[in-house]
Amino acid sequence: MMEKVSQPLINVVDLVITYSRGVLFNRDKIVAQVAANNISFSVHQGETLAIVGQSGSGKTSLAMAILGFVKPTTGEIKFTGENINNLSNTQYRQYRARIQPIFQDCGAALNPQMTVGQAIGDGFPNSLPKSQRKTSLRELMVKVGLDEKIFSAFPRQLCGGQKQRVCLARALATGADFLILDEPFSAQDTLHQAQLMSLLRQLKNSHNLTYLLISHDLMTVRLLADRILVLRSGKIIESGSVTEIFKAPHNEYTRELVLRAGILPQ
Amino acid sequence: MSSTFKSIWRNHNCRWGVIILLPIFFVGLAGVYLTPYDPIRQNLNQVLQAPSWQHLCGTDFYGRDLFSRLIYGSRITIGLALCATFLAIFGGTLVGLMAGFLRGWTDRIIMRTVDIFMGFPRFFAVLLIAGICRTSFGSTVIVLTLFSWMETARLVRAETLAIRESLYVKSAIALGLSHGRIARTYILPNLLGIVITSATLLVGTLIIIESSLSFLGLGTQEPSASWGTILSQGRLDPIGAWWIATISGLLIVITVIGFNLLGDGLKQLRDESKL
Repeated sequence: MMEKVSQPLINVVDLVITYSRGVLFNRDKIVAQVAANNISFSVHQGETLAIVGQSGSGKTSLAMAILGFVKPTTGEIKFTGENINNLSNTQYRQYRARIQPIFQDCGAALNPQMTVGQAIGDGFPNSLPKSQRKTSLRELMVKVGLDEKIFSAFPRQLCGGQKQRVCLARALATGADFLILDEPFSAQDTLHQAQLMSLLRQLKNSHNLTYLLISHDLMTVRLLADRILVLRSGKIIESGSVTEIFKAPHNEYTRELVLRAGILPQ
Repeated sequence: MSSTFKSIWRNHNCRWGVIILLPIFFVGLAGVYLTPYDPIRQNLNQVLQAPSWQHLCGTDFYGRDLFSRLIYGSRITIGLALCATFLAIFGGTLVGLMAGFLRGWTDRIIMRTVDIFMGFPRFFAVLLIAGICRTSFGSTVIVLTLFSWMETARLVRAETLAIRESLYVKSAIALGLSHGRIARTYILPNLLGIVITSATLLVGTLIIIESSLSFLGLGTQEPSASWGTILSQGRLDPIGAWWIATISGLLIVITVIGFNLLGDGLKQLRDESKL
């Protein structure tokens, strides 16, 4: 029993992601770009792990690999101890439903031809009876702070904050317990950022959610994360608790990032 | 929905397309009540009458009322073009969707088949098959469909490839939805704009091909009337019976312009993301 509790939800082991492409008029030459270089980390249930780094440091590639959109070149991604590459189709679907992304551009993550109700409803498992679907849907909308009046609205009729909440509700509808938040605050104004952050905290406590927060904004990371991984050119250059990283960063690059965010006094 | 119709009406090309096509469709559909004469019955006492109040568009070599025949012919010409367009668009969308969504070998096989079909000059291929087969409404529709689905398939494939990479499809995949459901509810509804535009432009082309086939005696056969067969009759005496070729030819041109204007307008709206 004790072992089960201590087992990480996600365990990334020696992960390497390489993007390779051919060169025009030269079939033998292949250009390879390493997005993630020997990355290992784990995330436990109920924890918020932030991955920070500048653009092109490999944060999103890492998230895409966990979501199954990018195939790792080498290394393993284990979900509750099982390598996701060894899962059967049914198990893989279950895994997919437990891990949900919240993209930076939430407007683009919603089907323009679907209403809010349809979009959130798509998250429910097929086994959920139709009669229960509507009640659950309305409950979810209230939970994420959406007005029921927008049930039949299309994404183009919503503001940025509402779209983000619809995506959040859809993710929760699947019963996901691990959310990958890919720069969720960058397209929001300060007021919406604060509201969304408070909502994320509230949901984390009420649903025992686990977050993988990808961000270059260290201010939001400080307020939401428990641990931080600092990524540079596809490599982890520093990791530690939020207090450790912000109080005494060991790496020069991390120090620079913290300084730029205005958190550490010059 | 009403905003879509408003956008269509506000677009200059669309509006003119609708203004041209609406009366043609109305007259075609309500033809039975509008035609004062039987379009097939011959009246040798009324041969080659010039347009008058009695015969609005004159009569042909067999004394048949041209106005009635043109209305009757609109059903055949436009009906045939619409049927072939529907089948070509349906087939092209299905095939393009499969190629773009499944990619890999399915895509390669489908696209090479498209290339082979596109290698034939459409009109000559249709002409050849129509010459070999026994001509009827059904066979003409099949022949026209057979050489008209490729453009739609290519367009739909390209659009599907782009939509497949969109964040909302990625989100659907992350939700664990099946491929069939993603194709049906996430990709297909977003292809509607391109499919409608493609269909509108195709109808015009098929009207010309059908009329050409009938003109050459390979499409609709006498005594049935299509605009092509009427035009074909007009060539027997283009000066003395000028109204036969002129009126039927004008009708073909105006209808094709109507469909092309509508298609161009819908394309403009789609490019402006209003459709």
